[in-house]
Amino acid sequence: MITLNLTDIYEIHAAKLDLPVSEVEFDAPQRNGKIERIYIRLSPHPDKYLPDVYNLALGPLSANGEINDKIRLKHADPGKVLSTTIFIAYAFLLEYPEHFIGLDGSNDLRANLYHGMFLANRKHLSEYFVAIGVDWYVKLLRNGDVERRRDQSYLFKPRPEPFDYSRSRHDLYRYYMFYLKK
Amino acid sequence: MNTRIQHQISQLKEAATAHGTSGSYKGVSYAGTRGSDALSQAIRTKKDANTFMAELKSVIKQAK
Repeated sequence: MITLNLTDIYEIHAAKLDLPVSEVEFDAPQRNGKIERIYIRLSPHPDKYLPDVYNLALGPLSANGEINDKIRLKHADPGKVLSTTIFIAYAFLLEYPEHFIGLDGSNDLRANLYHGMFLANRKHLSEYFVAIGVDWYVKLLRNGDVERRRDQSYLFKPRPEPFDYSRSRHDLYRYYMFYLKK
Repeated sequence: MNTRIQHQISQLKEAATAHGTSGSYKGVSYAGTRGSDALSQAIRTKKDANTFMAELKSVIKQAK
């Protein structure tokens, strides 16, 4: 369980709070004693139809200069890394309050992290954000079948709801979002 | 707003002013919005997006 505290974050070494891309760098000590330079990037969602949704990427740089958000690091203080990240998300939303930040629960590890983060830090996070969970639904047709694509796969559509804190980690959302609490 | 948070925001903005607007911040290699995620795969049309955004805004209103 990761406990967040947005008042206890790592020192920010460099920052750019602009649109379309905002970036921040900080150093995160690892369990082996090494220091890992971590990058946070907030960038427009890849879907052109969702201009108000921003994605958050977090991680060290890979060899090609992009953020490696798939690597599993062993942070000395994972709570502080996440607190720093969520603080940056908050600062970004303060600057651009009409935007949403989206977190793709693309695998169970990530979805568990996000879901657990919201569950374990409900009181603290609700001071700053509106937490949103997104499930995927498929339409039931009158003939008893469900709506399908041309290739016959199910035609899923996303449906957001206020984050349901009664949902345990056995009932993860597919996508997580948050918005500035005003 | 919490005083400590306010102080942190000020420090962040100072860092951004020192590095960002002066053009000295090299930043991360960024080739534009990359690939797609689950949401972009589920949003196929402008209508899908408009419906989704309307539902998002309704969620925000409920939260108030």
